[in-house]
Formats: sequence, structure tokens, C-alpha cells
Amino acid sequence: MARYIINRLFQAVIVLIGVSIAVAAMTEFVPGDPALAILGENASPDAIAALREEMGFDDPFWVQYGRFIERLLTEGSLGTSLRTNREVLVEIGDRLPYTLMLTFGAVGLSTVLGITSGILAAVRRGKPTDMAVLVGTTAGLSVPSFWVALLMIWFFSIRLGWLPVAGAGTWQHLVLPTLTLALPSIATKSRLTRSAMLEALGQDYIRTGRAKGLRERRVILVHALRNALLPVMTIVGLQFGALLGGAFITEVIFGWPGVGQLAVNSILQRDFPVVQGTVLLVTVGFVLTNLIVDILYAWADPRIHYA
Amino acid sequence: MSSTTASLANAPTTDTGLNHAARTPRAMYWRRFRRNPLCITGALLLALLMFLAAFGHLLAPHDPILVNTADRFIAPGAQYFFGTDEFGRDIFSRILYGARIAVQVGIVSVVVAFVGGIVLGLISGYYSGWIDTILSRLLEIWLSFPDILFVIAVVAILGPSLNNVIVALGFLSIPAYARIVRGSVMSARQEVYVEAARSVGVSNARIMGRHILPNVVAPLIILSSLRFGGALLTGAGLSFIGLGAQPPEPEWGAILSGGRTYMYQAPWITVFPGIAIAVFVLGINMLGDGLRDVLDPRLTR
Repeated sequence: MARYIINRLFQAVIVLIGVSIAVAAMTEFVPGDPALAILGENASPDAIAALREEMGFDDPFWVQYGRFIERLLTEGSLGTSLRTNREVLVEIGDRLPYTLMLTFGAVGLSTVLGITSGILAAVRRGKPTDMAVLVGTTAGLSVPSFWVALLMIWFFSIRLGWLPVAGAGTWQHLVLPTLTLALPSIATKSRLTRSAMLEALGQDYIRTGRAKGLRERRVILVHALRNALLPVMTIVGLQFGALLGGAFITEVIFGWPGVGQLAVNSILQRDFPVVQGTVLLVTVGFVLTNLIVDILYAWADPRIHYA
Repeated sequence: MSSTTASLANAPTTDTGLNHAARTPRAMYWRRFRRNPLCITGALLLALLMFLAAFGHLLAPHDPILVNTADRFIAPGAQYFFGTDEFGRDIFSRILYGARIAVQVGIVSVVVAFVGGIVLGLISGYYSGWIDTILSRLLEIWLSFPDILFVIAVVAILGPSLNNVIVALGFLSIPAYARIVRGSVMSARQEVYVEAARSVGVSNARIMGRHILPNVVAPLIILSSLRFGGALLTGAGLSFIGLGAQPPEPEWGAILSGGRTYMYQAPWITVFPGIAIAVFVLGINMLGDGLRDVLDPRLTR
């Protein structure tokens, strides 16, 4: 177990170094001159030369990467935004609480609804409840969530006037974005819970439990669920990272002032340091969540022995 | 779950399939495919999408891009089936033209991922050693970017456009293909028939192509159908937020996005492209689920 954790940590460090190289190399892959791409076609040659100098585009990649890492480790800086001249980390830091609020809300909502509907479907296998959940989850995975978001805005905000159309501030602002973000995730978790529950319910210990006269409620909620939840919890962890990235579209629709909106605006304005900073931070968050999930999994499931 | 029971009911027949000399594996799969309602519905919807992509421009009653300010915001009716937008463009025609874009997004991204994944997976699995170690680490780093973030990063580099989104969607899926191929190459390498082929001097390339690749066709087909649907959804989503197709391109996500401002006075601009995306993605997902039942009964949900 200790050896597995050390291996896994070592692996995560390598991945993080790789990710940082890939992110630092982003400007290398910009077709043509990155300074020209940032400033636009009408920029003066002097301005382009000055930016090249400032960003260090003329140095070989490894020199640029060294500078990137050195600045990050010694000054804790990811550079400054080309548009606002503020520290990238400050820009992101201002937005991060909003994205985390949205992500945690969506993870919580999708976990509760996904697991509940999955259990119901498994227990009522083949019955109308199961069919309804199947139809619901298939729709959840196929219907574009940004479209559902628009329909919800139209219905709840425009027609009924119950919820704000966009922005942030009150709990009412949080309702529609959280629902939008949670939607596909509810479907994934529900399907997974259903199949894990069906597998658990087919085990011998369930029959034993029933045979010794345990209440069906206890058999399902304690004996089967406890074993079915393990794979589901892994997905909950993995989806946390995915939702962190997936919040991009949702944030743009609802004018939610989070990291995703910042990233999309920065791409459209060619503000590379901010784009790089966002990609790096969200990916690091994703890698670390995966790491924690893996370690928790090894700890929670004593049957598994890792080499 | 009728599909589950259907494939379970079929199981004994397939086990005794050896008794019927004429029954090849292909015939067996085809039989299961025809009897699987998910496969049939999904395949029909996919066929409809392909048909619209090929002939939609002939069926479209109006020009999808031409501005006609006299006919702005006309509600759905006999002249304009799905109504018109703020430029007086026919939404029905725009959706028909959009089918071709949708198919391009799906096919090109899947082909990029398929080819890239097979090449990397074959090399990694077949040669093992340090090449495998390096490639595996690379794939791991690749996979550590959350999906949408990866596509967004590529678009940030190459600039917002539909073609760049398609490339990004293709590159996004390469590791998934590479992993499947690598895994089965590693296990096939141990097989006696590969050993035999090598001992009689068959070339590496031929062993990979003729003896190892056919084993991974089933999981790759399943993966491709799921990625096709995923590419449609993500591509439309990115066009929706302005990172993909640019106006006036009749891409479904972009049409939806254009209708956002006019949702109160002209809801049809947003409703119809959304239905188009949902129906065809649903069809492709059904086909994917059905193919999983047909090609790999062990994985039946």
C-alpha cells in the first residue's frame, strides 16, 4: 500500500512536469509569429518586436521553459495579463471561488440525484421506474446541455420571472448554472450506480442476507449499496475534474464570472499568459483530484493489491 | 432493457453456432444487429444524418446564408417550415446545410483519432521497451487534461475556427484509441499464432496489420460511435460559445447561439437546431450502446 502510494505520487510528479512543459510550449505551436497573433495584423513592427522581447519568444524553448518554471517557483508568478497588466494568478484567483462554487454544487447535486435514481432503477429492474431512468439518462447524455440551459432561461427566467437570466450574487443566480452543469453528470452516475448495484445484488452475501430474514431495505441500502458505491465514488472524483473543465460553456451562457469565462474571453482576445495560466491550474487540479481518488480507492478497497 | 434480454436469449443459439456450417461470425453479428432495437434505430438515424449531409443542399428550399431583411423573424409556417432568423434566413435550410458540417465534425475527428491512435498504440505495444515507456508517459500527460480544456487549449493555440475544433477533437481522442490498441497488441504478442507468423519470417508491419489489428476492431468500432456523438456535442458547444464555427456558417451550435438574443420574440431559432443536435446525438449514442451489446456480449449492461 505504501509502495503503491509512493509510485502513484512519483507518477503524478512526472505527469505534472509534462503538463507544465506542454502548457509552456503552447506559444511554440502558434502558427506564424505569436507576437503578431497577439497584437493583430495592424500592429507596428516596433510593437511586435517589443512584445517578442518582453515575452522572450526569440529564445529557444528550453530557455523559455526554464524562465517559466523559475518565475513560478521563486516568485509564485505565472506572468501578467496582456490586457489588464494584472498578475495572472490574481486574475484567476478572483474568478476561482465562483467556479468552485458552481463545480461543488454540480458534483453534490449530480451525486445525490445520480446515485438515488441508479439505486431505484436497479431495484426496480425492468419495471417502469427502470425504463424512466433509462430514458432520462439517455436523454441526459444526448441532449446538449447548453440548449437545455437556454430553454430553462426562457422558461424560468423570461416566462415565469423566477430566476435571474445571468450574472452572480444571490443563491438564485446559482440554480440554473448548477443544474446545467450537473445534467450530463447525473446521467453518467445514474447508469454506473445501476450496473454496480445490479452486480452487487447478484452476489451470494445478498442471498444470505435475505435468507436470514433481513429487511429488504437493509439488504439494499447497507449490504448492496456499500459494495456498489466504490466504483461510483471513483467516478465522482474523476467527474469533479471534468466538471471543472466543463464549466466553460455553462459559465459563458450564464455570464458566470468564473475561470471558464475568463479563459474563453482570453482566447478570443489572444491573451496568452491568462490562457496558459488557466489551462495549467485546472489541469493541475484535475491531476491532483485523480491522485487523491486513486489513493482513497486503494485505502477503501482492501481486496485490491497494487503492485 | 429489452436489448439485454434479447442478447441473453440469443446466447445459446450463438454457442451452438458451430453446428451450422454456413454461419460465419459476420453473419452472426449481422443477425444480432438486426434484432437489436438500439442498433436499428440508431443506424436509421445515422443514415438519415448521412443522407442529409449528402443531399441536404438539394432539399433546402432557401439559401442558408443569403440575407433577406424583408422576411425577418417569420414564425414557422408553410413558407418557412422552421421560421426565419434576424437576417431573414430560413432556419430549415440552415439546419439542412448544417447536417454536412455535423458529419464533417464527426467523421474527420474520428478518423484523426483512429489513425493517430492505431499508429501510436501499435508502435507502443509491439516494440515495448523504452519506446513504449516514453509513449505511455506521453499518453498519460495527454489524458491528464480534462476533455473540454484540451480542446480549448488547442483552439487557443490555433485560433477559433471550426476546422481547428475538429482537429482538436481528433487529437483529444487519440489516447483512448492508442490505449485499446496497445493493450490488445501486448496480449496478442504472446499468442502462438503471432509467434508462428514471426518464425516463418512474416514482417512486423504485416503481423501488426493482418494478425493483431483484426482483434481490436470491435472495441474500436464501439469507441468510434461514442466519440462521433461526443464530437458532435462538443463541437456544437464550442461553436455556441464562439470558439468554433464563425457566422454566417450554418453550424447547429452557432445557429442556436445566434438565436439567444431573440429567444423571447423568435424561440424557433433556438428550438429547432437544439432538437437536431439532440436527435442525431441520441441516435449515434443508441447505435454505440447497441453495437456494444452486439459485438461484445460480455459488456452487456
